[in-house]
Amino acid sequence: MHIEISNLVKEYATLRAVNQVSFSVNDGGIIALLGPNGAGKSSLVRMLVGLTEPDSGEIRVESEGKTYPHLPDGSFGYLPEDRGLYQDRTLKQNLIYIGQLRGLEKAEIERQLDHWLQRFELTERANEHLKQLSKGNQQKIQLIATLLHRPPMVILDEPFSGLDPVNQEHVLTVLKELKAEGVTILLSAHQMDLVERLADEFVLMNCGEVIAKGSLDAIHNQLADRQQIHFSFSRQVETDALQSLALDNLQSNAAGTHFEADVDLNAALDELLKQVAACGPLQEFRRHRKPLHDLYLSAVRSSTATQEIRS
Amino acid sequence: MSSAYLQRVRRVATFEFLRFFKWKQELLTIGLMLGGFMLAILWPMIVAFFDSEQRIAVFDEGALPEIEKVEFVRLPPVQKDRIISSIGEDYDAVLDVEGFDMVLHVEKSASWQDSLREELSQWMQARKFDALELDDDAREFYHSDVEISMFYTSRADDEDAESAENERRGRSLITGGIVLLLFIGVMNGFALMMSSITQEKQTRVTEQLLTLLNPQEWMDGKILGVTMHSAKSMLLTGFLMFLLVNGVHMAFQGGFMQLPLSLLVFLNAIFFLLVGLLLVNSFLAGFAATIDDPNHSSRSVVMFIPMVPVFASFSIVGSADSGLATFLSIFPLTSFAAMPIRVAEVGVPWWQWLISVGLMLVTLYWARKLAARLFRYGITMYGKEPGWRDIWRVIINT
Repeated sequence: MHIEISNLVKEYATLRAVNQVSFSVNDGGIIALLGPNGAGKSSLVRMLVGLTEPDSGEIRVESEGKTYPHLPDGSFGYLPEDRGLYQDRTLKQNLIYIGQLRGLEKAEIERQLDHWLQRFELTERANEHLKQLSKGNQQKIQLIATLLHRPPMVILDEPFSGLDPVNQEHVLTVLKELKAEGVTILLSAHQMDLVERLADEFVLMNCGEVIAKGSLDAIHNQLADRQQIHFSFSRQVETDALQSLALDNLQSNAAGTHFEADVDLNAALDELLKQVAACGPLQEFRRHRKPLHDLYLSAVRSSTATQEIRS
Repeated sequence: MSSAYLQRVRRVATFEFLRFFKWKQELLTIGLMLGGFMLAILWPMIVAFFDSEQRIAVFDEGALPEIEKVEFVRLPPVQKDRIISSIGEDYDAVLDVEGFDMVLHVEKSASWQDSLREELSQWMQARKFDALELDDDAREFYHSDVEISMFYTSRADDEDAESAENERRGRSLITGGIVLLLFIGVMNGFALMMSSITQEKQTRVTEQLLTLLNPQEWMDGKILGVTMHSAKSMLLTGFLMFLLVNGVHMAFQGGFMQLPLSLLVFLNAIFFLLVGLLLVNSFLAGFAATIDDPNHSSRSVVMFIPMVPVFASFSIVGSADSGLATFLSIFPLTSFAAMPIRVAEVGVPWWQWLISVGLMLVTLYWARKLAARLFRYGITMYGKEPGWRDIWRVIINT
């Protein structure tokens, strides 16, 4: 399955929720949609699954030799941002209903239920009403409902919200297993540390527009204007020599052995390494990549400021 | 109609029916209904049991009245003033009779006085009649009932005019029952459809399920499921009423009640009531889909519109041969209520029946399409209710 999104636009009354968005999704792997609330992620996902139609632009989904204007029925599992199931029905009744609507045979539903309830440690509670479960466990049931028919693609809007750290790790493990099975996953989330560990590709959105996309390296290249280096010596060195180098925000520990500094994104690190080594007995020299969280925040702030000036 | 469509509609309908069908609740409802009916039957006995006997002082020289639960005590006239001034102690009332005039002295107004006054009035009427001093023949002639014999020219072969009259009464009973059952069905549909759709919106089930089936499949399933539940309530109530009415009939008059209900009339009523419920529930589904929160939406009152045909059909019970009844039985938004009444009471020309069925089915097809469109429109608004102008546009476009 290949998805090509080109110049997609969606407007609600006076609000342009999605503005000229373009990116593609290939088979396998995990792609993360990132952005603050109101960035247009959910609007984009709703068009992708066929709940709403774009005002302009195009979605082309190629699957098994055919082309579709949105993901074809049965080819995907969808965990929406606005989600819930029937509170006055049991876990089992809810999931059997979803399975039946997916067109699964009774035996297959039973098999999948056994597997997933066990995988999410909910087998003992299968006959309890949904309203008796904690928010986190209800969230897990939602995820099972999304995965029950073993779709080749899953779309998860905020899959980690409402989960405690233990369950976040649990879901993370399940998603990695799905990826290993070849399932394509498109997810949106706010938990940057989890997403950074999980996703292969990223699409950063703000105010309905894509502000960066690609692998983590590519995102760094697009968003980071500086890079950070860390280095240490086996004994104290004079900082005067270091300050003559092209290093910004040079900081050291009290012993004067460990340093960190910002350098230009295009700086020649090999040359800089030689210069630093000339200052003393160098033990370690490494580039420190800014966490995705920091990149995300600075990019969103900068994009929002640009949007405000534009408007 | 693809098999996938039919399968999904069946799944949704079954789920919706079972969502609202709860065994304990059903048994409780049956128990309450039986209890209510029993209480209604036994009420006069209960009232009589708790009624206390009244003691009344009488100042009269003639025969004393004989009235159940009332003790009359004749007293000499010299005690009259003293007894009147002490009413409530030894006596509940004082009856002062002079000739054919009576005065009833009581302390204050009470419910037992109404029936007492009526009985005393009849007693005095009989005393007046006795004063006429008629012979036995004259008395018998006066007391004999005046009867009007009916002769129906359309039933000239029927020698038993009484059976024709009984049949007419029976038909009125059937049509009254039809309207009552329809009322139960529509109210049931109103409650379930409203809660089904708005609950799903509030518990946010809608978005996930809409990637599993399209709005038309979902609405069709809901309409069918809720209609199945409404029909269940209607038929269960009808059956219980039938049993109880017959039980009372057997207890007081002996034997089963004879109702002029042919299989054709019965099947016709079932058909129109079921299609009517589908039509009403389609309307309710469409409007419920435009309501986000039933507690705060001014639109909830519109959901009562389907009660209009039910109330209109009340007006033709007993006059099903009128021009209004003919119109209501053909107009597609009221025919489901009026046609079963006409068929049961007076019979209907076949061409009118066909037109009525045709119009009703076409309207049903349109109404379920409208429900799905309103539903699709409502959910794409994400958190806002569509305005009247939006709804009107959808109605026109359907």
